[in-house]
Amino acid sequence: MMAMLRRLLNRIRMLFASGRLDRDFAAELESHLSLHIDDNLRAGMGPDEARRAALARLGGMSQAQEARRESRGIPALERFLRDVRYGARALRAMPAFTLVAVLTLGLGIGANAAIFSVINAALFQPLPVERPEELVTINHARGGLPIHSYPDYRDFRDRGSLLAGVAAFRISPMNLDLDGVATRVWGNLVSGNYFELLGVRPVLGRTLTPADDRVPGAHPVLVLAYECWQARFAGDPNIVGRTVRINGAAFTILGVLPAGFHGTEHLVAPELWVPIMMQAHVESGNDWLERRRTHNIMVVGRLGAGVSHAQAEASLNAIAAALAREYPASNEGMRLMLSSPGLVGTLLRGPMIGFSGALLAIAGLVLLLTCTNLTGLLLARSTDRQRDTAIRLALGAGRGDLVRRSLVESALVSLAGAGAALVFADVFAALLTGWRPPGDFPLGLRVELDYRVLAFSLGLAALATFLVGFIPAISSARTAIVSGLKEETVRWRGGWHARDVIVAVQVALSTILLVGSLLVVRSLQQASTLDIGFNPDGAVSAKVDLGLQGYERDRALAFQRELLERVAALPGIDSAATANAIPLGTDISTHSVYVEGRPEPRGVDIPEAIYYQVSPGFFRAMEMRLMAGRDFEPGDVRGSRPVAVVNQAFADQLLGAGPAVGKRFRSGRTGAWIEIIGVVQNGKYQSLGESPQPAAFHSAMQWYNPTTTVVARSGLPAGEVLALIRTVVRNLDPGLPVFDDMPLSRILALPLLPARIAAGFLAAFGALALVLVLVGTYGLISYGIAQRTREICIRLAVGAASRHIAGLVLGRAAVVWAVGVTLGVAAALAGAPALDPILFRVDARDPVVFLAACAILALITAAACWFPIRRALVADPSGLLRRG
Amino acid sequence: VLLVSHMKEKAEVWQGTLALMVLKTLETMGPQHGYGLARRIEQTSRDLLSLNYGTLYPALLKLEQEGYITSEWGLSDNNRKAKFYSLTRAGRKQLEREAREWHRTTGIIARFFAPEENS
Repeated sequence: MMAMLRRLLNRIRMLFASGRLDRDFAAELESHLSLHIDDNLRAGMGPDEARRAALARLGGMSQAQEARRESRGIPALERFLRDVRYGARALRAMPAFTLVAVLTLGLGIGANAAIFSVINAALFQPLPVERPEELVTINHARGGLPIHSYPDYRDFRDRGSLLAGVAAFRISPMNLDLDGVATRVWGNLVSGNYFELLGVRPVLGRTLTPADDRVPGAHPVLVLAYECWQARFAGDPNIVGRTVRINGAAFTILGVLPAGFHGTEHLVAPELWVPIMMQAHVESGNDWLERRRTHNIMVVGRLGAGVSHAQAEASLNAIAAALAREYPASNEGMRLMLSSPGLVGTLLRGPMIGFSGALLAIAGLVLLLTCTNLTGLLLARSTDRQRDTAIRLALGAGRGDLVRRSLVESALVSLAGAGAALVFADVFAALLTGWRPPGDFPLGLRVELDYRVLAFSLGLAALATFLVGFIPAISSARTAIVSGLKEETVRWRGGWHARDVIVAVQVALSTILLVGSLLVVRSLQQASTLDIGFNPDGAVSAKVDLGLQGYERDRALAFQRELLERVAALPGIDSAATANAIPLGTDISTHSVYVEGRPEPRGVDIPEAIYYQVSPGFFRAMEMRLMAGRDFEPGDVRGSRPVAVVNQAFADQLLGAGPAVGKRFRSGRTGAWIEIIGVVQNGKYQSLGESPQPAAFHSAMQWYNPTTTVVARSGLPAGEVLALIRTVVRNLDPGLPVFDDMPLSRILALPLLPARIAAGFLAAFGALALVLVLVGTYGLISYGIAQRTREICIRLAVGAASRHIAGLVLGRAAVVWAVGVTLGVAAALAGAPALDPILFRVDARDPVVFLAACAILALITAAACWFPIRRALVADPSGLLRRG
Repeated sequence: VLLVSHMKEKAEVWQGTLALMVLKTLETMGPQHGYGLARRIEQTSRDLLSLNYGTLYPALLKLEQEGYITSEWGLSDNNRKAKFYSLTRAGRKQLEREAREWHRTTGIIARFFAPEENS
């Protein structure tokens, strides 16, 4: 055993010292010969005879050397290294080919690696907490946002579910006051057991504990994210115990969390954590701790040891059923469901998987396409080397050797490609990590190239090795010695040359990519003509949050009135208004609707309407068409009759027959009735794909909201208008931060983001596909013509019409093309519905798109055929024949 | 056929026994170069054995890989540069083992050809 191990180690050592050992051995044989010759001379031989005899006894130097070499290293490994050296030399000999091959494969694998790195970050990378696989988010079984009321959370916690523990958190904006300048930052309101449940330990000071979250309003403490500590407090080592002002009140810093911890959600990276008991202070005046109807906190739980997902879910549903019995008005029909945390429960998880899966599929197609293209190139080369191959075979090379050599060559290209891919993917990851999505959420997603991305890329490289190397390998192994020496081509069964198959596959793949990109581009085009219910062009919006700044109601209302008056009075402003939020923004609120004179709905059947609190002039500034009734007037203030404007969908779906204006509804089972004074056109409020949803617009003067969005319409450039608005705000309150200030059209950026990403990818890939098809077809035709030059010349010489010759060559291309397009169209028809979620008003099987794709491909193919044919036809037949 | 009959004049060295001869020769003679070993083995066999010198070196390499011998460049008696092989401690043990094995094997074979035992 020891001897075997020692021998193996020695062999490996010798493998790497082979050059030196060969020289050493040559010297030893030389010395052997000299010693023998000396002896022979002493025995009386002549010098020549002495040398000859010695050489004869040694049995031939090269045999001796070979025999020795065989027993020296590990022959299989050595052969492999020789193949690698041979392959590297072959690739170095063709730098242009190698560069193109490595770059295209790099792009192909890189596109996959980049998309996979995002999927990896969102779905596979565990959260930096203790035993992250045990964490679950509590969702509603009916879907939607996984948000619950605080009393419901308390019941999940205290009524004996099988979860080992549950913690509540709410992602909430806060004004952090640093040296007199308030900055709006994102924070988390969390229950006291949050850090204990997650198992997160601070790097400095301590985290929040249940003792910090007992009495409403009594715990002005917070902990900082590491990144916030570094960026805003310069990593001050004495930070613990310092006080900072949050929304105007002093909070004591208890500690700093470890780097990389951003809570349990990927989409928002909070900077600070505050006890949930402080919510009324953070969200001033809005006290919801005891309100079972206010759903606004997310709940994360931990599965206890030995408890299955299903058991925990069942135990929660038992609690939900009890709550539905006890509080039918708010909880009837309540059913719960567990999911992994990170992507807002089930809300984004499915779409994320679907969307990134679709992107990955597209990137996969591109990789396949680049592989077929490389296969074509390698195949052309192996055909060129056919004579060479045949000679090798004739000299006794094994066909296995040829296959191995070809695969080693493509493996080298693939590995280099994977290297290039990782560089591309790394650049992409850096861009993405620094990228801020539209809207003002700091992304908590950390895209980095970890071992999973590396393994994925290497796996793809291995796959590419076989995809690229297999056909050329087989083709060279099938070289028949005799015909190969005569430079005849190998044909596949049924007369299809490997090259035809490749071009057909390329045409098919391009059809799919082309259909995909045309669909998305058409959809984006449609989206720009989509009626979103307001005109985003020629207007700007900007936000301030008075609540965060500690304004109480009357002061805030005065501020809002003053702000609107000053903005409206600015030169060049056509119209202006304020509102709590604007449609298609990230701030969406809904309330229940109870219509006067209709049966009272209960539990999950209570209809909901999206609502906004707006100033007079809002509909004009947004260019929302008023269908009936009137706009708000300065008289619609607190104390006067409560009034609202609703949209058409509200009137149609909730009010029943008869004119809407004059009807009354309220947002709760009790409270004042609100009279409808006008009806506006429907619009898009949450997403571009939604069907018309009920919406209600209330008077901001009657229903106060401290969040204030200014909308101004003007012929001036957006930048100028925004600068003017910022000046107005600064003059009113120098400490008040303005955020989300942008041209109104930017509001479309977030809802259009998935389609834009997909369109970018698809357009780039579609263009790449077209170039590859062009090159591939061109090569196919040129090659076909080159093969038949002799035949064509003879035909031309005996008087065949050019048209006939062109038909001869094109016939084959047409068949290949038709097969490719048919396959591609079939695959695209099957796969296109995957794009449905990002398509607006375009059928995934839109015949126009399919026809256009085919037409474009036909044009490209025709162009690729035209040049080689023309060249063949204008050639001088006799000259070509003599050369051929 | 011609080749075989031609080489029948002297006994060929059996596979495996060459290593034993090398080890034994090194034990009795001390460090020795390849050519010297070859000549010594021929002399010991009283020229009954004809050694193909080309096969000696792979055998030496194998022994070296197994750690039974080591090599070192030095000068021969007539001032030629030569590689000298010497026995290692492991080689000495291996020789004892192999010798024991050899005696046993030859003993067994001898018994088959002994005339007086049961026939």
